[in-house]
Amino acid sequence: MDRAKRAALIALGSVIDPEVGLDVVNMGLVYGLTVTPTSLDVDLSLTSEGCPLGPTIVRMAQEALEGVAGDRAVRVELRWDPPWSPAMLSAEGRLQLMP
Amino acid sequence: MSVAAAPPLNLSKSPPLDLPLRHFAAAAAAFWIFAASFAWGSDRFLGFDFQAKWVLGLVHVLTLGWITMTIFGAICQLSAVLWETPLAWPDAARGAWWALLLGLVGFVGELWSGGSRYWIPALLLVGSICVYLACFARTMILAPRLDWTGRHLAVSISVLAAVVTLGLMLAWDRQRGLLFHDPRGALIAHVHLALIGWVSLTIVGVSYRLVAMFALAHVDSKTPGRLALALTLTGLAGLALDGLFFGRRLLPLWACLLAAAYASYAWQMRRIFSARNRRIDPALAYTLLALAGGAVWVALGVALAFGLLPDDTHVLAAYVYAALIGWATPFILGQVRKIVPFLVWLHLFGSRPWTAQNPPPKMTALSSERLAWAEFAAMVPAVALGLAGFLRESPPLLRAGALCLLAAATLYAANVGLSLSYLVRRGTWTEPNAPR
Repeated sequence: MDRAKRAALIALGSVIDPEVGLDVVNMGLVYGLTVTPTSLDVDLSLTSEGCPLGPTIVRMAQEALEGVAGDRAVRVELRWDPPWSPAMLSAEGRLQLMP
Repeated sequence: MSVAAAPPLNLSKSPPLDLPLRHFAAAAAAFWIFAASFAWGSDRFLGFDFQAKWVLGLVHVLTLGWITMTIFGAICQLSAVLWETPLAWPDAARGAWWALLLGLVGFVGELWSGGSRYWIPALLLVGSICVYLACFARTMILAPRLDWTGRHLAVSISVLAAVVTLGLMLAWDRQRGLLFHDPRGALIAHVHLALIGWVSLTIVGVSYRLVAMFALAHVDSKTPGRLALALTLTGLAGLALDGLFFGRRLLPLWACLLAAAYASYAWQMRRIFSARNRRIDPALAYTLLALAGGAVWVALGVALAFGLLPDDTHVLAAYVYAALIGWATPFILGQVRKIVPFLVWLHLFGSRPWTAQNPPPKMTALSSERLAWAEFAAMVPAVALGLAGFLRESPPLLRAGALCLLAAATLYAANVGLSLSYLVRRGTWTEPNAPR
């Protein structure tokens, strides 16, 4: 199961926010990742609730996960609680944004 | 593997793309026309009569054609994001855009040609602004909630209605001379309702949201911002009523309140900049320039109110220049630089089936950062030299500032044009060697 989780995180690491230029994992937008033998569930957030890029990012995440999910069903859901804040950026993400 | 359906791109709340873009394109043209006319006839700005029709026309190119046109376009687009509500009556807004454009061309043309029937296009202008006001008010009424930015815009839009009403009364008074005991005081009220109540409150409200978003900065406390809003409303109401009815007796008091409001706003913005998680790009640099220009504007206002500077035409011109070119224009340049490529990107690429292996291009690739920095490098001396030219009554300094402003306006128009050009060369980004 851990291997599937790692693969899912690597896949999500390739989903880039086109405005910020950073992947959703380093952005801290991945709120939850649950892997079961039959499903792969991801809770994703966006930097702001009305962000027009939301559907594009969700679609990219969905397709990236489908590439590594095997027989599992993929579900990507948006979550707004807690609201995203820059405190959720990873250290690596911060470094990429402010070298 | 179960293939779940990807969520559809829900852009139903956004207005048609042409609606904001036509505003930004027309505004860029108006900014360029202002800058070119200013460079061509900068000497005429020194020692001018406030009733001079050439100057009056040019000021309206700047205030209505550039600043108000941009703000209207931005609100049309941002309503979906800020208020989670589609813009009400987008077709009416599109009609209002035509009326605004034609009204402005007619109004300025009539002034510049020495005609006396400028009240006809002026009515078109007023009608168009009323339609915009109705669209925005309806949108806000339908919004599930008004956030902090939305509340600022609600106030600024209400003040715009007062600006228009007072402008009409001033125009009437200019012909008949019956309405105001102190026409100069009424003019001061009109100008400050427009500059502070309409333009500045909009900028302040939008800056809390957009600058924080672009800087990836999260600031919990809004205390300085709340204080800024309360002080602004008090100072502005006092200034307007004093100018209209009470003979301008307490101008120093209102100036102090408004200066304190600006200091509180600057404190809130300092917090946002301190919490930022992105390097300074041209948009953020422009915001810093706007903050500096705003500080100069406030300082000049306080000095004028306390009589530390003479109430001469060139000082008043410097004061208005600081507000329009030092404060409002850099802020707009910075934000539109982000908004236009964003809209083009969304339109071209938002609904394509991007995957991690075939990612979409970055938004920064839809405009030139190098051009934007060159534009910024021209804008800084445009502000400084223009101000120095007015204050020292120096034609060479003013001409140099005007030429820098023309260079900045040209580079800005080129960059906006570059972003818009992608709309007519679709497919570029699907090529394997397209820049990322």
